[in-house]
Amino acid sequence: MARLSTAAVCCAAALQWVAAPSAVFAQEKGEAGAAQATEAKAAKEATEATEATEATEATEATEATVEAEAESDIEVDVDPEIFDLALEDFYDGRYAEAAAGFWGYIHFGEPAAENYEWAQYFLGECLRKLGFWHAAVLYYYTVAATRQQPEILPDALGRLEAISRRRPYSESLVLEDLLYDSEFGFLPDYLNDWVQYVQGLYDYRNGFVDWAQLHFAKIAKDSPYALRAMYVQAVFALKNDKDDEALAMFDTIVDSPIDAPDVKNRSNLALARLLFDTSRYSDAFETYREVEQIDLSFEQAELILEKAWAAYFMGDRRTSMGLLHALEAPSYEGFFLPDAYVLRGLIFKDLCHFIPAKRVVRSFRFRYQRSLEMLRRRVPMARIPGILDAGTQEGQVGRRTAFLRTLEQERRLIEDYDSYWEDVELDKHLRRVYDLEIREQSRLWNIEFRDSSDGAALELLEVEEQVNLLDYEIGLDIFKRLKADQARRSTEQGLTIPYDSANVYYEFDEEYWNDELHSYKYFITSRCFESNKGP
Amino acid sequence: MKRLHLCCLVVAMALPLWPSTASAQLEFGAERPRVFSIQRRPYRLGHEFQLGLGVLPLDAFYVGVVATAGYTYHFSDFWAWEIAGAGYSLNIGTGLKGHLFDEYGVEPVQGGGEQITVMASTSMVVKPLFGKLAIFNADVIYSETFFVAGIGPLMKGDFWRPAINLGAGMRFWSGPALSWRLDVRDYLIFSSWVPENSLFLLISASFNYYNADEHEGDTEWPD
Repeated sequence: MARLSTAAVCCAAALQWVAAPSAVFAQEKGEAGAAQATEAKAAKEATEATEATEATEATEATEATVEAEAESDIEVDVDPEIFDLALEDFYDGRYAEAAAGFWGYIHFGEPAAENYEWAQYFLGECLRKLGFWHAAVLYYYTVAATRQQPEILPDALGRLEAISRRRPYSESLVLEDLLYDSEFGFLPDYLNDWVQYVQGLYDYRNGFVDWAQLHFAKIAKDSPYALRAMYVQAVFALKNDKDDEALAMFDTIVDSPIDAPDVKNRSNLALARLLFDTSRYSDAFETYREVEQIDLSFEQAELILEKAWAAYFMGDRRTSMGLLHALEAPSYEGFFLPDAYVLRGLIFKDLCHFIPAKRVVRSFRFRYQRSLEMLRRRVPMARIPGILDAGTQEGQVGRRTAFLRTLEQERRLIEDYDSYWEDVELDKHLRRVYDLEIREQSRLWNIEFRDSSDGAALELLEVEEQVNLLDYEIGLDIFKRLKADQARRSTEQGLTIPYDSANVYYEFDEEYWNDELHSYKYFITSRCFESNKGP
Repeated sequence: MKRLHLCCLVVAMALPLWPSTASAQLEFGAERPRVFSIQRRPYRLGHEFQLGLGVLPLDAFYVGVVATAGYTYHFSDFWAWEIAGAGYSLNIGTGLKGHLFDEYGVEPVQGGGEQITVMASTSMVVKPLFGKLAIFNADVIYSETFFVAGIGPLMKGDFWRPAINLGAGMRFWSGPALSWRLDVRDYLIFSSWVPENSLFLLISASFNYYNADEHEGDTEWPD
């Protein structure tokens, strides 16, 4: 009975685990657009996308109105020399002064002025150099969208492409509004690849698979975007239950000679999760080792936990516990990973260390009891400790949270340049731009957070259930009766540390080193009597 | 009475330590778990060729600037044999000899004026310490500390003298093929039954050729 219940806990853990990668896949799918976990989710996302699009359009309309109003406030003759002076400031590295000059030229001048688009582009450049990334994106967007001076288009698009790879930005503005439905004519190869990729991606998201494939076919074979396109196709195959096809595509991406570490990393992760879901734990563990994540990030913590589960199912409890030990590093303390408690408790229980197992149960309750009580009292999710972090630590809402933080930081930065800009009111204009964007992003964030926090709450409740079951199992195991002939300790190999070895053994001394997080081994002897459940 | 007070004080001081030990024993029984980070050595040595520049600072009459070269074969990560090490010393007088002669009309006797010109040795090397150091909390460098003991002749004055050398050193890796060594060795030179002492400080660059097939036949790497 005890064994059966143990299996039940394991199954519950596994089921919960299967759900976790699915959720992550859903995130990837969200990115790829074509492989949502369920059709309902897809429909929901589509609705949201529509809402978001409408909202963005509304925002842009408002922004345009605000800008138009701002531009129609004062009508004065603008000396064309202002542009040259601003350009001089720009090349001398006086970006704040240059921004004021370019803004004055745009704000007070006529759109038909000779250097109007150039002034917009250079204003974007100044703002980028000063750290106003969102405002810079807006001006690059404007230049690329109007396309009145085609010679600036590659530069503006080039900037947008680079920003899209490196920083949080308004995806709806750049990808949906600018790139998806536009024809840009001749572009340099790398920009053409980017445009085709985005257009294909959005066609996949909208269910126009044939059109998407036409776009993807136009991407150069040696471009990193070719791999990204293949990734989208692989996720689409996953969505359609063509796991083998997806596996083959992920393999192709990983083995490709093209230098695209980001997409290769994501493919390795997807591959590992796929292998895990198909119970190929050793292969999954090996593949997880290929995945690189930013040190001490949530993604790294998640990866460590996934590896720990894989090691556990492989039967390697030392490695599994070692990885869980790494998760106790202070940098991971704030992350929402409740099933780490289940795994730790399971391992202690398997090794008949019942008191530590009970302590794990207690620590779970100590950590999450308050959140669970608040959940039951139906306190708004954003006010529940842990759920707010949990709901925003990954996926689309995670990216939006990062973008909102960036927007707020950049808005605060305006104060530093008040003295340069107050004459031409660029500071006022930027505040208006940022306020509008923050309001819009917050609205979208709230919609997304509702879903993601529901997911986090559900996960927490499920884990609580598993922990309760585990607690019960531990109680049963403690008082399990043994026959006299079973009452012997299992023989297991003791720990021997060679003095001369190709491996170095660093004993943990209450100090976590980043480079050791993946290599801890937890040496613990089994206290079980009746079996050879050695670690 | 005084002793009793002392006992009470010791017990009182020991008391705070007691509960944690007791609970730890209760929790895990007799055998406490141990946690190791087991990592493959990032740098391993095979055939090491060394070029260096050293100094013989102790002799009052001259300072020797020594150019050295050597070859070491590493049997394992613990044992190595510095098969041959040799150095040529370019000696720079301190002016003491002339000063003594000018001021007091005396000259050094009993080998006091003899200078080391050539050094040769063969030594055993043990490398018990290997570790990593955090630089400005931004990067990690790997280092090892080793100890050497060897024999070899030195040319001092016009004669070859037997010598024993004992020393220690540190190595810092900048890549698999290149590392930097700091050696401190003491040479006991037997010009007579009573050895003379000569300190030798050396900084050198080591070029390493490591053949994995030669060294890692059955090695089990950590997961």
